[in-house]
Amino acid sequence: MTIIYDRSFNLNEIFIIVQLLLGFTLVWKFRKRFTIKELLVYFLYNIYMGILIDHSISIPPCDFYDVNDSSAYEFMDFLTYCSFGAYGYFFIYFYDYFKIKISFTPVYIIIWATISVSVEFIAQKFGVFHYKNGYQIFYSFPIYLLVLLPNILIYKSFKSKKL
Amino acid sequence: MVLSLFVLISWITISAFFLIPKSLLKVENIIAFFCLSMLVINLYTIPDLDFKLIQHSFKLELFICYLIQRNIIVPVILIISMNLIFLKLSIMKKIIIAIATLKILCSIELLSIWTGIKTYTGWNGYLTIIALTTLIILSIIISKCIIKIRSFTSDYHL
Repeated sequence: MTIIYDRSFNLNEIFIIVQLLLGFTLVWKFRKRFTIKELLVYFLYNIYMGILIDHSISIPPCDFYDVNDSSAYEFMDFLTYCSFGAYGYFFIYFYDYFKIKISFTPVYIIIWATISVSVEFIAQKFGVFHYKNGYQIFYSFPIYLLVLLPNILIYKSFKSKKL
Repeated sequence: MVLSLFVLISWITISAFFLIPKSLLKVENIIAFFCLSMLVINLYTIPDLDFKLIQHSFKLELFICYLIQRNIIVPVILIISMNLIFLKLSIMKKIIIAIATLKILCSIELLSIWTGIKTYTGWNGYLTIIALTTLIILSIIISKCIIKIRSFTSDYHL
């Protein structure tokens, strides 16, 4: 049965649209650092992972949370995943900009996982995520750790010209 | 048993991907994989979660098979197909590859019905064929767009 949390255009939609527009604007402004293909990979990776993980653990039998106004899949949910793209891009952008060494990479990933959990917490307060079946926000932390690592590996592959 | 079968199928498709001649570059394959996977996930979710026309199994083993089918087997088969379609082949051969892809995808869908991974509640086989054909057409369009990027220089910045 579909659970409906609200039906009006309110804070969660505004939060997503602002996040999306801000993300796209910032990516466009800071686009020169990478080639078009690199940019697409870093940007699409987080959107892909967002859709993949959400559509694996937020559907039955797991069903740990719902996104936005109802438990059904809506267009606003898709926009939510699109807003993840900018985070993935800037995760790599700053990694490249600050020339993070391999020894500091785990700390860098932990910092970004913490940022991600914080943004998720704000999103939850705005009504973007609705946790259920015992799921709590700190369960997202290890997921972010796992998601961010392959992004670094892809970046390293680009740098070593293996791709 | 079913899980082993789906792991085997996914292993075969991944192996086949590494063995086939590729028309897309590695980075283009990555971009295509992300785009096609998102497309497949959406196509699997909407009739299931929104319209309740298809019901996936809630049994853990079968649910893992469902995830393997949706996240690995179908996108990798599409990537293989796109790599073959965009090789320098005759139009006839390209059509044969597209039809073969459709047949393989339909067979896997049929297998998931037989094994109880999915149950059609308001869906039918004809709709599956239409959905998978649309998926192949969209995959061709996406791959064509990705290949277009190649017309810019390899170090092209936006």
